Amino acid sequence: MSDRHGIGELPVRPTPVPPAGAQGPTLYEYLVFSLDAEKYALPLRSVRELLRAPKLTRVPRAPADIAGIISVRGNITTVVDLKIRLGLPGFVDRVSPRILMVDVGSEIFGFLVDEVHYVERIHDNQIEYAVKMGSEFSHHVEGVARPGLIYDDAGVAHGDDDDILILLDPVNVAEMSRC
Amino acid sequence: MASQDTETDEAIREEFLAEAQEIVESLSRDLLILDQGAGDGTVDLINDLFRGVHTLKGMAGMFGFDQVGTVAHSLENLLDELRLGRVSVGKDVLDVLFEGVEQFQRLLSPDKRDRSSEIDAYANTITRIAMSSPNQGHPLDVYAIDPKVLSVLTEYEEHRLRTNIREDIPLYRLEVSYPLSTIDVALEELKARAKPPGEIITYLPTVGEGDDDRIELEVLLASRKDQDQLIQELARHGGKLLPVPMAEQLPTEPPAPPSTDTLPPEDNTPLVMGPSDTLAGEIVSLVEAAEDAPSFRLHGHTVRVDIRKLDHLMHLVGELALLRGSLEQMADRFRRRPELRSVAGELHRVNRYFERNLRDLQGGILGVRMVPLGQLFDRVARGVRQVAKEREKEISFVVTGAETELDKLLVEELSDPLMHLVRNCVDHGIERPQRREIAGKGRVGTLAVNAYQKGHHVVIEIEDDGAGIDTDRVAQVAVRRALIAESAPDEMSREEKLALIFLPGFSTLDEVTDTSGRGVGMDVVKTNIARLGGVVDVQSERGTGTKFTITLPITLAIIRALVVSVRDEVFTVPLTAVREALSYDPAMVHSVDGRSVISLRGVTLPLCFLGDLFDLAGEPSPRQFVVVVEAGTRSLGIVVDGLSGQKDVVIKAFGESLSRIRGFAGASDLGSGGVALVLDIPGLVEEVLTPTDHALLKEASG
Repeated sequence: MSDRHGIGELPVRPTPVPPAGAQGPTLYEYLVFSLDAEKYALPLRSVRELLRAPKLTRVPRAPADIAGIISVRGNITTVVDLKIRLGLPGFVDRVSPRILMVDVGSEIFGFLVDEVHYVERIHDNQIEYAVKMGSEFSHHVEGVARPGLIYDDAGVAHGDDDDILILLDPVNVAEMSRC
Repeated sequence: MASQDTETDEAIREEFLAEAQEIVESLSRDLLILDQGAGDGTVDLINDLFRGVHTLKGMAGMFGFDQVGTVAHSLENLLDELRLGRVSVGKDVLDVLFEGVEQFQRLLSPDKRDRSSEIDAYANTITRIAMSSPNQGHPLDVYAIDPKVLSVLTEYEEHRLRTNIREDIPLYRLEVSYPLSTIDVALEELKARAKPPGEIITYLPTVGEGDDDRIELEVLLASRKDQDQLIQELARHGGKLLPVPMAEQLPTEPPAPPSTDTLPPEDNTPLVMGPSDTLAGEIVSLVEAAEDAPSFRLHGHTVRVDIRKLDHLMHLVGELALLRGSLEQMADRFRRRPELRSVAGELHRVNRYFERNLRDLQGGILGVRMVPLGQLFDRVARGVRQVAKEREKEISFVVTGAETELDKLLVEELSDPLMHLVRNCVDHGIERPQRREIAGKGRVGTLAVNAYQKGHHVVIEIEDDGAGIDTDRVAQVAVRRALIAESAPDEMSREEKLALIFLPGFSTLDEVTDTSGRGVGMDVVKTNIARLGGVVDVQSERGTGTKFTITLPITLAIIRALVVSVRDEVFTVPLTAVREALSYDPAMVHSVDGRSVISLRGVTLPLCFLGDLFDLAGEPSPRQFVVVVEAGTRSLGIVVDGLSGQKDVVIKAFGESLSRIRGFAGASDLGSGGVALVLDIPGLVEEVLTPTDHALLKEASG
């Protein structure tokens, strides 16, 4: 874990009372961050480190959602303006306080984000997967999680269903940058 | 634990593969020489081949590469037959030997297809050839060689003896004694002295009366030199040399009854070597054992290093260079403060010393990465031979400048494009023998590969004396494939038409041939070479031949770069591509054919306004500069807003996600100033100056 700078210092939100149910739902760890007013989350294992915004070098001719490149310990890393990538108005002057370094297998990308919050443990019965929600969501959204929801023995949900996290699929988000 | 074992296994495997690859390359080299007719060297070459295959067999057995072992084993048998003269070196045999090299290459490649049936078939072919044409030697009874000597000759020695007798080379017998401690060195020296033109057929230790720490040897050798000369050369440190008498000169004597006497040989009698002579027996068996064991001393003075380790060292040098820059800045700051001026001077001096050492270190690491192009050319030569055979063409392949050195990574990456170009020359360039005769040329076509260093670049020319490229036909094909507008050819120069062969989707031959077809065109060659920071040019004369010229930087690892600024951005330009820089004066600019140019010493120089090309925001500075760059034979003036000096930079590749963005060779860390993009000069020159790629393409599609 020592190579994953900045992540160890993040708070982990206390896990809600373990939901009942014979199956014992699977627990996932997500890193929660925000873009404008919404909260998003990426699987914790895909996030390599958090950087405090270094100076970005812009790449002429690159698509608009490529914020530029940075050198991370000698490796040239592509930095994505996650807001533009997700169809939001982009960062002002491509400046963000934080960069998430995300490993998608083929490459490590930097994602510009507004604020990094905490690590959230999410049970899979708290996740509403995009495939079930229909085709109106683009493929980079894995689903929507409601960490405030708790299921009782009868399988009925209680609690806060308004606290939502948009779960991103890091590979699909990165895939869109092929130009 | 288990994973560690796997890693060790993997390391051992890679070690084997690397070593095996070297042996196979050396086999290939020997075969090529043999193929060109080695004359007197033939015997040595076959022995080298035999040893190489033998070593490979041993290693393959040890590391569990059974199929490599099988092929090596069959080849070893065939080579043994060649050594013994039972099979002679003919075209069929050479084909089979070359095929063996190919088999090794395939087996050592990462491709894991099952080749067992292929290998069995190959092994059968070898066995068939090895069994064929028994070659009877010359009778040995011309000379009075003691039957006992003959009885201890190995099969190979007997073959060499027969060969020498057949060629009427006189035989001599030499008696020498050497100190036990240096016997192997002395023997090597003796062997080396004896040839050329002589050869040591055998040497046998005898039991002498001398002291215990010396060994007396009786040597049977063949040589055309006369006795006095041989005495001078071989026996000057003592020893006796006498001709072996011819059979009829000997008094007729019944052959000595076997194994009854252990008498030491007397003067002038043929060498006697009884099987009961235990000392000799031991030594002989030791020698045999040594020959039998796979030799690991083959590459004793080289260390094989993973190129990634060198990259890492280079990276560290880059970091040190950045540090040095900071120290320099610190020294400058100190100098402005009177009380620190002496410290500044000291720091500056130390820094200079640091810089010199750093430069040496950098040069040293770069030197380690350099390998001669020869190894690549050997591979190419094999390709040529094979394609020539398939296409029924007669080709003489001439290589010059094989010793020219290039970065190892570049050599590897160059392999495919070079092979493609060469095959193309054989396939499409050089005509069939009959056709050549009709054209009034010799039956045998010449394919020349010529490499040389030119400044910080290496130039490789591939030239054939074939039919040349029909530019009109090229233009027609380009029109048919809708690569250019129908009217375009009328306005195009010969050179422009020639350049069309590098367009994606272009292939001159309507029928796709096995060799250079397969949908892989010259555009791929061009792209691959461009990726290495190089350019490929083509010149061709109808009926006379075609010449491709590849120009590459010597290394990609670290470069001296010119730092320029355009609007708010900073870029670096590899200094090797920069010819000069001058002040930009808008009044000098002319517009020719819609393109801005200036005249520079009587030559038209097209301009490229980088800010416009890259669509950068902001206003150009009032004072601008023109950086004159070159790629191959073409020049371009790049207009920038500022020049900020030179810097040593390590070019780092972009991530895959940005690899398709044109105009940049990568990026480099400038230390304090963050990251700067490195301009891809060959790419920019191409983009700006080649109309076919853009304007014409647009014209055709629009």
